Amino acid sequence: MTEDVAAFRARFREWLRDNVITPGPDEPHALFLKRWHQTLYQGGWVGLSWPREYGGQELGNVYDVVLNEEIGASGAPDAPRIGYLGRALLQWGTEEQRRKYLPGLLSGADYWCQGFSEPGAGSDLAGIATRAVRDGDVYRISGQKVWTTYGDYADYCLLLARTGPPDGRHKGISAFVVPMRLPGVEVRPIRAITDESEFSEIFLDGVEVPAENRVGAEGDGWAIAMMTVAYERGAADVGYLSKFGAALQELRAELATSRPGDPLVRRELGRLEVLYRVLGQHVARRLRERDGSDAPPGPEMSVDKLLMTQVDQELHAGAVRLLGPSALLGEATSPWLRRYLYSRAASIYGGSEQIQLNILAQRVLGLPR
Amino acid sequence: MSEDTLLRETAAEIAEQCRPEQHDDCWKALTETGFSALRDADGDAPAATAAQTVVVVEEMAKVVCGAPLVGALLAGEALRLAGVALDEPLTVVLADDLGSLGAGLAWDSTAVSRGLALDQGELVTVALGAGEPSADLTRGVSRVGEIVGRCGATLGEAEARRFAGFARVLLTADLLGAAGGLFGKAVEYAEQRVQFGRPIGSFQAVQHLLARAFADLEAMRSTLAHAAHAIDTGDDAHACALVAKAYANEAAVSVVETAIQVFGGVAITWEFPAHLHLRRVVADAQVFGTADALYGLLHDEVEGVAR
Repeated sequence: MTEDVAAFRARFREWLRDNVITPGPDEPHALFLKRWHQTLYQGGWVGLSWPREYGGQELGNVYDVVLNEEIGASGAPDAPRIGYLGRALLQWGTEEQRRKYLPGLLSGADYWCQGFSEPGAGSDLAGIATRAVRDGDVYRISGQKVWTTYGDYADYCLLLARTGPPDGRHKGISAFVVPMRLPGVEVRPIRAITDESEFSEIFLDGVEVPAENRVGAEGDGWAIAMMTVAYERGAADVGYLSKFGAALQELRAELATSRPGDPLVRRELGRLEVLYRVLGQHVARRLRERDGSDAPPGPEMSVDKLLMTQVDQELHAGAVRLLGPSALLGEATSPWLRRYLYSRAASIYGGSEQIQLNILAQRVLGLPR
Repeated sequence: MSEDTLLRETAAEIAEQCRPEQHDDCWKALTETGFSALRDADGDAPAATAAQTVVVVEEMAKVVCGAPLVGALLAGEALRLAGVALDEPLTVVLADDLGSLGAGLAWDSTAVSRGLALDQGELVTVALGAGEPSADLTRGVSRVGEIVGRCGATLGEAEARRFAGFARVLLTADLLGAAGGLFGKAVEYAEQRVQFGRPIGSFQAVQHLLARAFADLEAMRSTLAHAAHAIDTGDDAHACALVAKAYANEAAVSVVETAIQVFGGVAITWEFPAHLHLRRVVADAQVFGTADALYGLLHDEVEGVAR
């Protein structure tokens, strides 16, 4: 019998108390997150809603929300963001590909990145120019990708490249699993406004990728990408719910010390708590709906992205405003300032705010183009 | 057809017959179907769950019906929680700040002549005077007259808390309905209204207004479902109701304002019903807690229940 949600929550909370890890002295954040992912996996907390045969536990999606909530409340590092990339392999991969890649993705042994955006194709993803040319049993891939999270630590990249004619737009795009150690792959970290290098550029120069690494058929790339980004727009699928919960908890504790009894702080923290809980409740509703349906997430996920962005930006701008000089002095990029600066990316990545609004207007409300 | 779908469809049928300033027919239908008594005691439990009750409230609010459904449901809830049964149509009397049950002003009083009030903590029924003018042209308010009956019962602290949570959830349903009802019409209008040779709904500036309002409505829908479920299970119900109403107070007003922007000039006329929706949500946002008051209460709740 499946353990009920309350018991699961209690058991996870207890496990968290004993097992949260802290970063080593010079440990890069990416490696720290990888270690945390592996720790969670060993505890049996990763891939809750995934099929058993690929290392999952086949629990309902609601357990992923509980996991996110508890991680957030405990102040532990973010939940691993595996869901959205793995779904592409789960739905579109061959049996061989699923067996080869999914266990390492779930366990955290392999780190995956996403090669979708390009310098000339951000929100307009159908404009990608990276080409994959079939040559016997390999594809030769050349082009440039950008905004790849921790690309320099990645073992594999789920990459979109054009197999059809150059002006084919969303037709003629295919998806590939590209091992990052192949000759011709070069990764250059980008120094971001936070003064950190979470993102990178990937340059591909005639990289020979075995044909068996293509996911789906030639031309399936667009559908694979759309499904992946729909998952990416869900706050539990990318672990952001836990991140916001932890930040709010931390902010509350800091303000209790620095501005005790301040009525403005009471109102503002209440407002931020409302926004955070609205997001959590909305995500829970989505996952309940997903439990009762075989359909992958679709254009309605743009609502989730808008809500996730709102919490991210309101929370971190609010923190800088409420904390005042202590968030701004002492170093060029204090932790709260860094989070605030990074929150400005929330309305740009994963399809900009304006793209999300277009999707809702045209594909959900059915307004004329 | 599921019971909930049947509820929604029956309520929608009643709402369809609703005529402005003519609430007697709606009230008759709401009492005959038993909708006004969904929270009266049926054995140990209310006749319907909170999750079912909010469906009816939302449907009637889509047409900003003025029949005293919410007032009657709240009176039924308070009496049931206090263990009292009264067989007469009642609405509720609120404190002067409209934030809780009290003895100040009868609220949602169209078509009823008695209200449930608090007199020194005791539940009493009072006669209602003539209707008073107020911003909300759909939902009546009245001055309070003589006490006509004493229930000999009070709402204890726990019951008062449960009542407040339930009241906030019903108001959230009313806010969602009133906002969603006008929003749906605004989307239709944007598809049909032609300017510059194109439907205005094809302009990205208009699309983005409507898309953002849609996201607000969806978020309201999620919190309402969550809070109603919490009322039914008793799990974290008070906090969930604070969240739902605090969010809806601001979101519903914003959605109605957006709809008015999309309708343009016609929505600024007295004859067009948009102002009825705007008046309703602005008034609802003051009842059982303004957003600012609820933010503060939620913060206290979170601080008090440190993990």
